[in-house]
Amino acid sequence: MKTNYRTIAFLGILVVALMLAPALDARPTGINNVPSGCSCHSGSASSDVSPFLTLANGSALPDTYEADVTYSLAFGFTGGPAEDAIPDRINTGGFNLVVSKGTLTPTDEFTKILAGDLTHDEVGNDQQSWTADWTAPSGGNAEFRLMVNSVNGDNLADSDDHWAQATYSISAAGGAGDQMLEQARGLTVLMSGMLLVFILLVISVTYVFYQKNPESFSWETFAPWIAGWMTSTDHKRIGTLYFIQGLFFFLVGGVIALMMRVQLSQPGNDFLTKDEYNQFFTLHGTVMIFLAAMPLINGFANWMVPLQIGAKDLAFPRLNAMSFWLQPVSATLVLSGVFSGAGADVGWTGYQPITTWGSTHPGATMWLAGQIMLVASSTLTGINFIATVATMRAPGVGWLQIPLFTWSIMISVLMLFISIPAFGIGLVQAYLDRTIATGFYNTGAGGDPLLWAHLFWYFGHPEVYVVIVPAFGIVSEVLATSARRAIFGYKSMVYAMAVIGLVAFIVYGHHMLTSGMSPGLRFFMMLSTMAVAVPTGIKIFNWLKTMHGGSLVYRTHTLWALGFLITFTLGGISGMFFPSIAMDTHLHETYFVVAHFHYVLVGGTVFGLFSAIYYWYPKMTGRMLNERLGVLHFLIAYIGYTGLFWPMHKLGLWGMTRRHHTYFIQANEYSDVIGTLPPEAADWNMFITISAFIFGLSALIMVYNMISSLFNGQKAPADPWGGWSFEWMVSSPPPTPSFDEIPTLIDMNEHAEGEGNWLMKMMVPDDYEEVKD
Amino acid sequence: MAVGGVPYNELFDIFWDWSVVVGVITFGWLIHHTFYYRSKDGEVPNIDDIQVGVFPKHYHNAILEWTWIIIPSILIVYLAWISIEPTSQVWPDPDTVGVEGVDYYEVGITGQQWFWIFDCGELDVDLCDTGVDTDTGLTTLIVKKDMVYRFNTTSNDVIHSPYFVQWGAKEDAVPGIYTAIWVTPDMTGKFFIDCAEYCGDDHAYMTGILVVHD
Repeated sequence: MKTNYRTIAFLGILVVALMLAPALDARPTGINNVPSGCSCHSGSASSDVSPFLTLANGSALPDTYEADVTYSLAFGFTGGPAEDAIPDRINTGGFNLVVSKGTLTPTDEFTKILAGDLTHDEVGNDQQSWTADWTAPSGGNAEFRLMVNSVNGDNLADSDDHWAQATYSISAAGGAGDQMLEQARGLTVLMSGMLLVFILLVISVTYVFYQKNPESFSWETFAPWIAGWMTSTDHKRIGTLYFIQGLFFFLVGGVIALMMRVQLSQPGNDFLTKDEYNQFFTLHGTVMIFLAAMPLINGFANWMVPLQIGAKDLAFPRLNAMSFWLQPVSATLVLSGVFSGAGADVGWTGYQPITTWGSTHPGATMWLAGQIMLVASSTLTGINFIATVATMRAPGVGWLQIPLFTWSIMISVLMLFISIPAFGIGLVQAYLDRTIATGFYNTGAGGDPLLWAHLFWYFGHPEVYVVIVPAFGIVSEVLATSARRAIFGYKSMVYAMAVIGLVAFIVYGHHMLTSGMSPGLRFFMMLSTMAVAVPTGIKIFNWLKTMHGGSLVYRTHTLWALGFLITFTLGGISGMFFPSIAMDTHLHETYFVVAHFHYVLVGGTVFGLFSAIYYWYPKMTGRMLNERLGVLHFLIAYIGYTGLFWPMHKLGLWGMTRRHHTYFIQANEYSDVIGTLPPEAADWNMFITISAFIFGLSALIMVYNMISSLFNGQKAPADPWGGWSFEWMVSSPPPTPSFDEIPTLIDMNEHAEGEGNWLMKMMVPDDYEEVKD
Repeated sequence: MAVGGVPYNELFDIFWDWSVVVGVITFGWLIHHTFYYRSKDGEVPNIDDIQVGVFPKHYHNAILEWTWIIIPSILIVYLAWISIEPTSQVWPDPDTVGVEGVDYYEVGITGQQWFWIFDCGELDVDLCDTGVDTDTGLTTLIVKKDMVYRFNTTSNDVIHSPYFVQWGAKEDAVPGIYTAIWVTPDMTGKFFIDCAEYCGDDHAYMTGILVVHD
């Protein structure tokens, strides 16, 4: 009973806290209970001040508006202390204008948008009337609320000032008002389509189960089967779930990217609105990194790490299940805003203060909340894998006998575990800023926008290594097995990955080289960033040397690994151009950057993951994939990929800036402006878009291959490719628990005297016994 | 016409040459091995006697491995070294800049959603003037050729970044602090000033015009 009391007490405190907490929407009443919502000046409204709102040409505000037309407004006030003639007065008036529908845009430097409202700025403080543009919505009644301050001009905000407020309403032309049917937004349609896909997925899962045994299909048999998947703590099943999630969001992110490419295929295109485009590139980044790449990596890690080190499961199976189930929930949060057409529109980097004070979309709040849950998920995953690799290795598996894929996962979760708290802190701060109007990133309240940049990139740079290092592990396994050789320089491979993991934390400033950083720090960041090329070079040369004297067997996973070597090396070379700070001022935030990080993230991580799919699919399902379709996928995807990302380098060098929903070429009214893009940039953009569709559609070949091989593929032997690590010892697919008895690793090498220094001894588990053959 | 400015173009050529060298070595090596060491006649030999459950033979060569640690390190030190000197052109030392007795001219740029506000301060109209471009309606800054300008940049709302495409110069406009962009316009004409840091809906339209006259 004691626990119950405690629960009730907790719930009581929570309810009271929620009741006492300020309203989630900090305006219009404000958190300090000023009824005006205007944070300044005296307590209650004064009758001697009369606000006005008219069209800019002087005529009165019409009763109706034409949809999507922009109106110029003039507004201000008369009366109050501002009317008094006081010489040398500094500030005489202020205002705050909110509209329920449509968009307000400042037209001069006297007004600005602050946290979604139109207000005056420091220069505009000297006036008593202002102007702005209002773009009408597509339908419905719009209500303006204007608050004005008549200020006595003594530059002291105090009770001598008078204020007043007024509301004006205007309805859609044709008198339809709120009844008018709004046209469905493309984005809403798309996201509803994805929801539909998800529902279809659920139905097909049910159908797959039904097909297995149509005779005895009933809820009584279906419920335990689906519950078995949903409550499983088996590392293989959770791995598969991660895998399905990753592929699903890979599709979502890919469709989003294709839509963006259609928008950019021509200059001045209007396929997407700027608002939709901004949401698209935000969600493309977040979905691809957090909901596609990392779950796919986690899927392979879940499957292979316990198998490779000879453990029956992960150290904390329930924690593992929780890590996974946080993901779909946070995915729903991250994408939720999009269903109403108001998703996060701040870029995946979520720079401040645009995230906290610039974006009016409620989806941005949800997006922050979803990422906080992803931080929790990643932290739990980190704990789990570090504990598993540190304590659950089979006899004979010392630290330097761990297969390279497991090493890569170990290093990547270590990096993630150390870096992600900084991101979590930043997210919570931004979330509080948006919900209860704290001032972490409000420059007016002394907040510092660069704090976010530091917190984000301290996490963000290790994060991109978190997704690339597992690809190193995959390629190491695949190339060595395919070349029928042991990996060249196993130890230097491990040390190189460890050095990459360490250096990741001291290079992050290169993302901020144009943020006004001091020259000394810029120089340090340049040097440390360039130094990353050394350990990465070691890995590339070691892979090449592994192939030396080998007998390369060409299978689909081999092709992907070799393709990875080419694209990743090219991405690494283009990466050398940015840290050179005198060049970075030109290249920063251009398509050269976009090309570079897609070369390392798609050409690196995704190609590595494709290789892993073809390499481990037989182990995971017990069926071989169709090689012919695999090679076809590789060839089409590789051509599409090159056509998609290679021309972006050139666009970047011409100065095409990223995150622009459209671009200008030297034509029409810009013909005499130098610095716009040359006309051929439009042709290249069209070429990129076509290539993007080729690359995107080629992935469907792989999906088809995976589904058809699951039912019709050849049965896979335990060790189809001739690997050495423990995962090839168990049957395909492996039993549950994964090993009937824990195997013992035999080491072919004679161990030198005195090997295993104090560090190694310290890290060896207590029950470790040296096994000699 | 090359964009990006003199320091960028000089460095880019050097980096490009070395990229070609690295690329030729790596890809030459890779292509040779993929064909020369391929499995012939469909054989799958077990060269290193790999067995399941047995950690394969350590196989390394200290001299080779140190070679590809040291040589790339030398290349990197060299590339970093040649990158130092041009930084004094991009961010000059205010004490050493001098043209005809006057050090440099300071002009204010303030970013605001979604246009640039130029502030010439006390400068002569010949050196700095502001206006609105008649063709495009964009805010315009008019400056003189071959003068050294220091643009003191800040923002009224979110982070922006004025980008002088022709001279490859950009620096974030951060609310609450001032950052500096040094530009010496060395040709006459009309140029774009783009916004390079995502700043909201009209980010793509946030452009200004720079007019340079003799």
